[in-house]
Amino acid sequence: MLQATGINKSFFGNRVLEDVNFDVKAGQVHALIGENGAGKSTLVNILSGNLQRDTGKVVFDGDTVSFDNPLEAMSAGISVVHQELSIVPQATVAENIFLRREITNRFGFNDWNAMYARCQAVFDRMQVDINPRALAGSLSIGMQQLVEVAKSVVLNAKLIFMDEPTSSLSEKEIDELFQVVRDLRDSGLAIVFISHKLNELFEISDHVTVLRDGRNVGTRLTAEASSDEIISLMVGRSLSKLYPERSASVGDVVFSCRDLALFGAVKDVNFDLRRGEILGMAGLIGAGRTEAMLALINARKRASGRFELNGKPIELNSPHEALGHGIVYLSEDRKGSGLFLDYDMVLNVSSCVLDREARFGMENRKAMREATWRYVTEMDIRPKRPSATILSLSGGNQQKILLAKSLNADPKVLIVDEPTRGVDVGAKAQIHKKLRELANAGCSIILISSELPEVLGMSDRVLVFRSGTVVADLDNKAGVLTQEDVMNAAVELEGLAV
Amino acid sequence: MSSAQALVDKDKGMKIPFRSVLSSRQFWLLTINAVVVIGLGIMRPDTFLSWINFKAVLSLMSYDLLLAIAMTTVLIVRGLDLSVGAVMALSSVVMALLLRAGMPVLPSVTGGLLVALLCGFTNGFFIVRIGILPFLVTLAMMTAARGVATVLTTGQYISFPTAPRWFSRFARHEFVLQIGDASYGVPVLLIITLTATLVFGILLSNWVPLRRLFFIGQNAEAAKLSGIQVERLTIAAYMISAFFVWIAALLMTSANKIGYANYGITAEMRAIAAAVIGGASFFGGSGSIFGTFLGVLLLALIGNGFILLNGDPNWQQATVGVVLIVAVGIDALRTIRQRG
Ligand SMILES: Nc1ncnc2c1ncn2[C@@H]1O[C@H](COP(=O)(O)OP(=O)(O)OP(=O)(O)O)[C@@H](O)[C@H]1O
Ligand SMILES: [Mg+2]
Repeated sequence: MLQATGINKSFFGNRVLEDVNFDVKAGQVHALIGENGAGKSTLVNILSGNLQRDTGKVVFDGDTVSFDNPLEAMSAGISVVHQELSIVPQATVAENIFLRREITNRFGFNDWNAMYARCQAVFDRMQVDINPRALAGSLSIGMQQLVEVAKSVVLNAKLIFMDEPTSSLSEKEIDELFQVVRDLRDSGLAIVFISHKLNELFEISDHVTVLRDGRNVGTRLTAEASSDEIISLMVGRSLSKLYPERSASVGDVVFSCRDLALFGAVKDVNFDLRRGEILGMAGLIGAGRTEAMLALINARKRASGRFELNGKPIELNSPHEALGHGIVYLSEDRKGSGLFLDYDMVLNVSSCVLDREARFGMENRKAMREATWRYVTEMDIRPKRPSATILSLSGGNQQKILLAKSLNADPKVLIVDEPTRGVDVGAKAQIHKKLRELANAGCSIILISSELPEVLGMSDRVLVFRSGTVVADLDNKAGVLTQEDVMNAAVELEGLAV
Repeated sequence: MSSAQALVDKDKGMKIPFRSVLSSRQFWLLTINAVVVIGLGIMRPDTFLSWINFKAVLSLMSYDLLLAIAMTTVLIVRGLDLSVGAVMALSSVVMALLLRAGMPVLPSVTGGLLVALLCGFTNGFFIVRIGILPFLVTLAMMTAARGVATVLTTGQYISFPTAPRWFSRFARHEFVLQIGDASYGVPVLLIITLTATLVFGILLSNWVPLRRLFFIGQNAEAAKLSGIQVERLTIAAYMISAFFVWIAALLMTSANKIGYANYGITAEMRAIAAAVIGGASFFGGSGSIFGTFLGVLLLALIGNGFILLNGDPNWQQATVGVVLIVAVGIDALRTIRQRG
C-alpha cells in the first residue's frame, strides 16, 4: 500500500533518517520500534506530510506522492495519531474530531446533529463510552487518546499511523484499542504502530521494523522474531530484562499521610512511607492516584489531609511548600504540566532550583549548566547539547529531562507519575536503576504507573487504588506479588462493596 | 579540565534559547533602527542629525519606554495591562492635587505611588485570584482610573504653583556634557529613564524572582508544580508594571508642571506595539528590556520621521497600528508553528 525508499532527513545538519526503506501492506499491522531518538516520529511525520523529506521516494496506492501538509495526506487517506496529543481541550469531542472537516448541511452551515450521530456511531463501534458533546479537556488522557483514534476512523483513512498510542492507556483501554485495531485491519486498512512495549508488538503486529540511529536495521515477520532478537537489533546488544535488586532494609516511617481527600475524586487516603522505600500505586487510569498526589501537594485544592515528615506535623499548602520539605512531584503530562517546551534543557532541569548557588539573588548559570550536563551524560540524554530546546527532543528524551528536573530538586520524597512513559526498553532499565539507587541513598519514592509489571517489579509495597481510595496495601519486599494478587485485591473488594 | 567541563564550555557560546532567539531579533531591530536613522539622516541631514532633535526624540520616548517596560513585564507572565496610560494619568493627578493642597513633595509623590500600586494590585488580584481575563480586568481599570482622574480634576489642568520650585524643574533640568567644543545637555528625565531601564533590564535577565516570571508565562501549570509561587509572582508583575507607570507619571508631572487626566491616552497601544516588536509575546514566556527599548526607539524614530518630512503627524498613530498588527500577527504565526 505504501512504499518508501531511500528516505533521508536532516535537522540543521544532523542526520536523523538515513536511506530508510519502509513498506506497509494493506490489511496488516506494521510495528515500528527503536530507541528514543531513533527517528520513528520523524519518519511518521514525513510520510504523513508533517515534515518534508530531504530525498527519497514515496509510493502510496500506486502513485508517487509528496504531501506538502497533513491535510493533503489526510485527503489521500493517511492519518496520524500523534505521540503528543493534539486535542483542543476547550472544544467538545465532536468538534475535535471534525475540526476542519465539518459536515455541513445544504445551506453550508455545520450540521452538528449529523456530526454527533457519526461520532456516537464510531464510539459504539469502538465500544467506548465517550459523550461526543463533552469537553475534550474534561476527559482523562486515556480517553483523549481514544478520541484521536476515533478521528482517524471517522476520516475513513486507509493508512493510520499510531505513534505510541498506548503509552497513556490502562490495560483495559489498551485491550479496547487493540480490538479496534484488529477490526480496522480486518476491514483492509494498514496500520503502523509504534510502541516501546515489546509485548504489545507481539500481540498486535504482523511485521516489525527496527530503526536504529535513523537507519532501518531490519524488518521481520513478527511471528518469526523473538524479543531478544528485536532488542539486540534495537540497541546493538542484549539487555537484561530484570528489575534492579530491592534494597535489603527499608527504614523507619519518614512521611505519613492521613485523611487525604479531594472533592469528587479522592477520599480517605492514608499511608505511611518509609525511608528508602519504593511505594507503588496501582489501579486503573481514573482510579484517583494522580489526583491524590496533586491533592497531597495541594496543586489541586484538597478537602482534607494531615501530614507528618520525620514525625513532625507539616503543612503542605502549595507545591512550593512541598518542595521546601523536599517533596517533589513529577507530572504524568510532560507537555501540559511538566516541561517548558520553548526553553532549553538547562532551564528545564533547573526550573525547581533557580536560586541554587545564586549570588545576591542572581542566577548562577554556570552551576545550572554543570548540573544539566551531569544529567545529560548520566542518563544518556540525546542530543548531548544542553542548549537544545525541549521541542526539538524526541518524546523519550523529553521524559528523561523531566526526570532530571525532579532529581535536580534533591527530593527526600519523590513522587513519580508515569516516569517511563514513552522511553525505550534500554532507557527504561536505566531509569529503574536510577530510582532504585536513589531509594538506596535514603530517598523515599512513590511510583505511579499504568504498567502493572513496572509497579510490581520496582515496588517494596503496593497500594491499590479504586474509585479514589486505597483498597489494598500489599507487601512486596520479596518481590513475589503477581498481577493476579493485585487484581484480585481490587476485584474482591469490589465484590464486597456491592 | 575534564572533558565534560570542556563540552559545557563549548556549549557556553550558545545562549539560553529565549535569549538567543531574541538576540537575533535584537540584531534585526538594531539594523532596522540604523537604517531609519541613516535614511532620515540623508534626507534631513541638518534637522535630524542635531543633538536638539535627538534630545527631543529621546525625551519624548522616555514615557513610552517606561510604559512599554511595564507592558513587557506583564506580557512575560502571559498577561496584558491596558491600564498603563490611564493609571499614569490618575497617579499624576493625585500627585498634583496633593502638591496643590500644600503637601510636601515626598508624601505627595508617595501618594501617587500608592495609588498606582493599588491599581496594579487590583489588576493582579482580579486576574489571579478571581480568574478574570487580563484583557477585561485591565480594560475596566483603564476606564475606571481615567474616570476617577477626570472626576477629581473636572477635566482641568492641575497646576501646583505653591509647590517647591525644584520639583517642577528637576525632570527638565539638564546636566551639560562637554565633549571637545560641543556641549550636550542631558535632561534628568532621560537619565532617570535610562538608568531605570538598564537596572531593570539586568535584573530581569539575572535576578531569580524575576526570572521565574518567564517560567510562569511559558507554562503556568508546570511552573506551579516546579514550586514557583505563580499567583504571588503574577500579582507582583502587575505591581512592578504599576511602579514603572508611576515613574512615568512622576516625570511627566514634573516636566509639564501640571497633573492632567488626559495624559497617556492610547499610550497602551504604543506600549504593546513596542514590547511585541521587541520580542515579548501574547503567549507569554518571552520578552526583554533591550528588545523593548529597541521597539520604542523604532516607533519614536518613525514618529520623528513623519514630523521632519512634513508628513501629517496623525499618520504616526496609523503607523503604530499597522506595526502592531504585523508584529502581533508574526508572533501568533510563530507560536502556532512552534507549538502546533
Ligand atoms: N524539529 C527538530 N529540530 C531538531 N532536531 C529534531 C527535531 N525533531 C526531531 N529532532 C531530532 O531527531 C531525532 C529523532 O527524533 P524522533 O522524534 O523521530 O525520535 P523517536 O524515534 O520518535 O523517539 P521517541 O521514542 O523518544 O519518541 C532526535 O535526535 C531529535 O532530537
Ligand atoms: Mg517519537
